[in-house]
Amino acid sequence: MTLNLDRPDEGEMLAMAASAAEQARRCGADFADVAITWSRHISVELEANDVQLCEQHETWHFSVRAFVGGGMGLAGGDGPPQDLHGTLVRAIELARLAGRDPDFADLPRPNGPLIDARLLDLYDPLVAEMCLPDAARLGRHCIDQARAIDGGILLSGDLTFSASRRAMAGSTGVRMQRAATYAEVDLFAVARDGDDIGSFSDQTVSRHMADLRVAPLAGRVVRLAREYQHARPCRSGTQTLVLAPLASGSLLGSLAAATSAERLRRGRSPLARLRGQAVVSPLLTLADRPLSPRGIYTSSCDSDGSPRRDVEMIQSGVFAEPLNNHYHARLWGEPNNGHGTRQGEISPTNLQVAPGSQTEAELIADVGEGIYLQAGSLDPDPASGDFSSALDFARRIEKGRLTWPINDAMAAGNLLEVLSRVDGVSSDYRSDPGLILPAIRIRDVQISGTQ
Amino acid sequence: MNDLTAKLLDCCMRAVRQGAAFADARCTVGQGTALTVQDGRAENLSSHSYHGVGVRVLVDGAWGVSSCDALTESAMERARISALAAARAAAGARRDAASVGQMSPLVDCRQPQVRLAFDAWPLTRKIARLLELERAGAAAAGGHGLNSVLTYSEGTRHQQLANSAGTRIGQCLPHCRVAYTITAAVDDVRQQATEFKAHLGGLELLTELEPEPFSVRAASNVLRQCRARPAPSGVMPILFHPSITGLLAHEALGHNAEADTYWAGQSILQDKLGQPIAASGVTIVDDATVPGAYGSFAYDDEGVPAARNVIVRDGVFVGLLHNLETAARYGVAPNGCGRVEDHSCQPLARMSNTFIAPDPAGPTVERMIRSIDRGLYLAEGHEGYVLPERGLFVCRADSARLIRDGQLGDWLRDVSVSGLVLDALTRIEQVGSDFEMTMPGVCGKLGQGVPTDCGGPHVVVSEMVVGGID
Repeated sequence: MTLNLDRPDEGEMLAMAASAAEQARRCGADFADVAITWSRHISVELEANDVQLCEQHETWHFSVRAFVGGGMGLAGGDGPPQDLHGTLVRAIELARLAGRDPDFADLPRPNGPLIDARLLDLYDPLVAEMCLPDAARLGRHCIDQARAIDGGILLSGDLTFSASRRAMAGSTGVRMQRAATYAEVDLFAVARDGDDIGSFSDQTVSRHMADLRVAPLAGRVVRLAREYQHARPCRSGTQTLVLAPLASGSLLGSLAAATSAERLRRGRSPLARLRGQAVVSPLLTLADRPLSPRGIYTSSCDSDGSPRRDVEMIQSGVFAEPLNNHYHARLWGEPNNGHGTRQGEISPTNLQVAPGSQTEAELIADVGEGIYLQAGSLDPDPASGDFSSALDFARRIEKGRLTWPINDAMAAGNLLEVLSRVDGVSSDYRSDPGLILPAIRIRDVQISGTQ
Repeated sequence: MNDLTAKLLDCCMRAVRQGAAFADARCTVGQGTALTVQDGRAENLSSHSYHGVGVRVLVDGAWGVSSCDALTESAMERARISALAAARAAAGARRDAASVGQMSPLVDCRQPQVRLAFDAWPLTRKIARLLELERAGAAAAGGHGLNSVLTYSEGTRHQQLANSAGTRIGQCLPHCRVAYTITAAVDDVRQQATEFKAHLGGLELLTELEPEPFSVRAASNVLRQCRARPAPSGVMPILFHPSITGLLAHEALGHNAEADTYWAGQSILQDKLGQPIAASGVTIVDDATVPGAYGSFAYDDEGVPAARNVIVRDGVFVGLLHNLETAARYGVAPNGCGRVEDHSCQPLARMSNTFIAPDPAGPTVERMIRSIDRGLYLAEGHEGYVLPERGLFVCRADSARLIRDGQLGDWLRDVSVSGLVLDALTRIEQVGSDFEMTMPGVCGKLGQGVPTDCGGPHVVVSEMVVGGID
């Protein structure tokens, strides 16, 4: 069986994957699955107010997972799948060398039809057919737009448009095929007056051209780069911290990832042994919604081929349900919610945080003295949840208003302790496709400054 | 020189005949194996192979890059045609023309320097060795251990490069990595500790690795961290272990000295070439020629010989790290810092092995400790990052100790320090006589990761912000 390399077709890819999975079983694997992916992407890089270069790439990737006695071997490669037989033989060799896993029973079997791909709406021909001259003109337009707003700004960034086709087949009869597109524009603005420098970066991502918000993005990064000039030190002590959506995502995303059944079982999560308990503020409800139409992390099934479903991991502050995969669902006797990766781990998809009742502006207006972190990661340790992080893009709040930007300051704490002190979640939020991230307000966060 | 570089050269010359002022083509053929041993069981055994060709052309002052995952002549032709189209698309939107300086053609082929080939041991023996290392760590943590994971990877990348100046370079880069992470809890305090070893070389990294300085050490560290105090917060003098000194050199200074970042107006060092930016006595070097170091290579990914580049000499900012394009912009010779993650990428100006040079007449670490009344000793580096344009950097330590009245005190956990580059460099008040470079890692920039290492001597910075909760 061969593929048409010039016009990749998911149907052909699926047939090839299915044939190889069955062949792997005949060659000695207890279970096997095969994934084949093709993608094409074009990108334009902007540097210092100019178009630096244009790129165009075409890539293939294929991999075979084989299981023998519960041990897993994974073999794969980049390039068209011309020697799948050699790859599956290698995967089986590796699986035989892996240690036996008495808890492994099988790979998922087909369990009813997957959600119709048309409902997920992940493919836009306008993105797939984007050509380089048009992309370069769009890049030039971003620069011209930024310079029209502020002639002193230096703009860099990149624009990427990609289309991919993927097929996966398992020896248990699982079949999946998908076509998707993805567009992303990242812009980075620097405002400089001698040694007084402000900067800001942000992005817009989408599955469809219609969802890409390029014009507001350029204006936003230019304005915020200027606002981050004239930064000053701040004082040390416990203060109220308001995290804008670009910053709250680091803490709330870490909390979502900590609900992985694999990390809970291994003791690598601060939520280990806390299921059913109140772990954070009752104002916080976190859900993972992998079937959101047009979502950035949307797909009908996970990498094992299990159908995905929505999970509300944190309900009003209580750790209600972990993210799992076929292996852990069976191990714990629970329904499979389809969050498995090809490496046997568990990963969140589209994070949606339930909005609150006050706007972000109202959350800030209630703060007498504090700090507003507009962007930057607080990056907790994945096992302990402890963090000690710089406040990269932060501004002082005084009497309910945003004032000057601060520099050289840090925040420290523990993920669960800090999120227990959340006393406000905003009703307005950032909504990259599939995601809902509001601002949150946290009392009594330890801040280190130079004043 | 092999047939493949001749084909790459032919591809470049065709691009020139079709209007390119300069062209280079690179191909990669590689394969690797990775193993994970977790809680006493070998799991996730994987192997990966890859190959492909990338072509870059300069047309009308604009760059175009294209790549395919195949090594056939038709793939090269497709990549060349596509790169030319990409460059023309860029030229239509570009205002300022890029260029490449005059180059003397180089022809060379470098074979790997390995003491023990990866295939000297069968996979079963490697697994047995990894299980031995992992189990030793888990045993050392005793009943406090929650999870013990050892990951191993080996791989060899064969790179071929040609350009329209006539350069044809082949080199082989074997890399070997072992990482061990242990999670433990003592009285409900959960912590994680990691040990990481990596080098440019062969299997000798694994065969010579003993449990005591590796997995057992990580276990000992994690138990100590579980019992350590949270760090204090505030501003204080900091004694840096060489691993943190390396992070300072890499994050605070190195990224700001990458000439493409500098050109784009994204470096805090803008317009400071030739000026003092650090305390006198501070010399910072990026050196891709250190034998066996993780960031070393014979030629960069544009075919320029690897070099030892001084960035700061005795406190004065004296040099940038260049790729071909930035060297032409600044009218200097390229200095071997154009690096790519793989054949599909454009070369960026990158670091290799970056360090603060020791002062042979400098103090010992014991003398440095005695000189501090109240401060911190950051004892093990973990990671860091920098916002080059604003000069803000962060270094995170795996472990640290209080210093009181010139003596080491309690152990601390979760310690990060941040600073402003220009403040921190001028506040280096002591540079030690010792030297260590043991922070191998993958440095990311614009989506590309390349192997790097960093290090230096112990140094004292008179004041920095510590992010703690005590």
